[in-house]
Amino acid sequence: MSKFIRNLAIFVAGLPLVATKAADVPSLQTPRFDDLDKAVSLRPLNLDMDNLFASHRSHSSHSSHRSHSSHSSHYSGSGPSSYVPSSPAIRSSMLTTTSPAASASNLAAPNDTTDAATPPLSAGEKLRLQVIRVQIKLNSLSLYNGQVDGIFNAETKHALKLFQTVKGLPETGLMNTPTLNALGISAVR
Amino acid sequence: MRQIKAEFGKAMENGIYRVVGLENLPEQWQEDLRFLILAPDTASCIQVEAWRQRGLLNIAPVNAIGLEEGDVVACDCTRGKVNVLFRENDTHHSLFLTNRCNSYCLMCSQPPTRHDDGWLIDQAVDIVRHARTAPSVVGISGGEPLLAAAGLKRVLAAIEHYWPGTHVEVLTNGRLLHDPLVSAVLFDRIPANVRWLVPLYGHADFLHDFVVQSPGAFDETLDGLLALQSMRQPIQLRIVLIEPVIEVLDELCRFIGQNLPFVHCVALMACEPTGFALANRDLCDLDLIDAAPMLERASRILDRYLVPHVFMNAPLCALPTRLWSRATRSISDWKNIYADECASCLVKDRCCGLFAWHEKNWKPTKLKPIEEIIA
Repeated sequence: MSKFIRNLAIFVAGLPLVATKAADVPSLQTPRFDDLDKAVSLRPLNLDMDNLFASHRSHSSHSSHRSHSSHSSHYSGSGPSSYVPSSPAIRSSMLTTTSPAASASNLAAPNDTTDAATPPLSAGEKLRLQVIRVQIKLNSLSLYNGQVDGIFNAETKHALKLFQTVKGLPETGLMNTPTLNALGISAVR
Repeated sequence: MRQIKAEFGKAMENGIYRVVGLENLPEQWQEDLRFLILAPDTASCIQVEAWRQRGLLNIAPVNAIGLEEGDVVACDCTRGKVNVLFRENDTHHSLFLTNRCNSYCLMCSQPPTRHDDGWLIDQAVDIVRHARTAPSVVGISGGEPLLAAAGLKRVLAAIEHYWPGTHVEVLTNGRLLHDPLVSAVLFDRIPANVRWLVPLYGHADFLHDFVVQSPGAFDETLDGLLALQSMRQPIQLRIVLIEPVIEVLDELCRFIGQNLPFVHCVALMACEPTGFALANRDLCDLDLIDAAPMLERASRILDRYLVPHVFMNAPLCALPTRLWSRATRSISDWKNIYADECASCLVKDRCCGLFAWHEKNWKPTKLKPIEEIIA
């Protein structure tokens, strides 16, 4: 017991030493007042760099829009198959193996030529998608009554201006970043 | 899978849809997907109809109780119902590739059918495309997915593309991998993040072949396991605890330890009381507590060979306490329930619970709520 007390006394005697050492190191937790004016605001839905079409004015300059009708079907065979070698050599040898015919017929399944992956959107398709999303939103706000077709026409521009008036934003009629943020639509990238 | 009664708008196309709230459509709309918009009142139906008339043809309104935003569903308009095929906050996600099988297991919970069901592959790819968020793990099951090897490749490629980083678990008997042509096709580009769950029911051919009711299956499965190992694919062996398997469990575990030491894990699973298990009740219906000594021995043997192992589908009151740390909550959300007795159980939230169909059929043991934990 007395040994324990002695050890304890030695330990307590050592404490101030440790404490002073700790005080020398500047603590990271203490707030520094010069940081306070650099408050972190909420990150907006879109930053300016996210918005590819901030200054997009008209539709006609993008010739690539015309191609979008071919994009409607996912299984449009958009790329060469990377999946199953359906070469006749393999198929015939499959049929001669002892394994059940089921395995052979399924290796040469008719659907195996479709590519599961869609190619990335082109710039024109991205713009069209973003315009469609804006039109959907504007329509649900009863500001836009035209077709939802991804074409940035005069009616869409007018609706955007109306929206900007309501929100107190500069009336540009453009899908700029503050407007997209107010609409709650993330920019298509 | 969950089935939900639903009212749709006018005639619409059957198929795969993503469920989305009215206010979130502008953010999520995409041309190559289909959207089912939650429209519980007339105002929202009118809005959906307005969008449709202005050219958005891949959207449709739905009124259903129990649908959640982000669900991927298959619509059956003629019968007025939807099947929820993917739900974001489920713990277990699975894709069903085929209902055909080359084995005919005694306790099969999903008896195989013969007809061509290649459409299930397209459906699986569609589910992957329509999901809003990627799950951390997805299971691929059947039937025997390797019967649709080309389709399996397509689904794996789709998962890799749309859900990079998702781990895939393929439940297969591995028999077709014994055919070098099948494995050559499947592994011409080795899929990333795939784990193979392969059942093994005996250490000798006649034992395994009896349980899976297919002569030659044992040799083919072993070949398949070796093929997987030669491709450095992670493997989990699965042992379903039915009478003929429990009888040889010691030997089977020793066989695994000696001959298949490369497997990443062995799962010892209680039998699901449905499907063929009902027809073979004399072999499948057993009280797990009676098998406790065998289970403990099996666990010791696997430990001795340093083979990691877990118990699945076994409620904690059906396992000796020593094995609790190895028990997992393995039953898929939509078929998982707890019995009335479980209400007072202290370890309910750690327990896998029961299959929803245990009431009609049988329980894995006589349920006994754990009311005191002895540390």
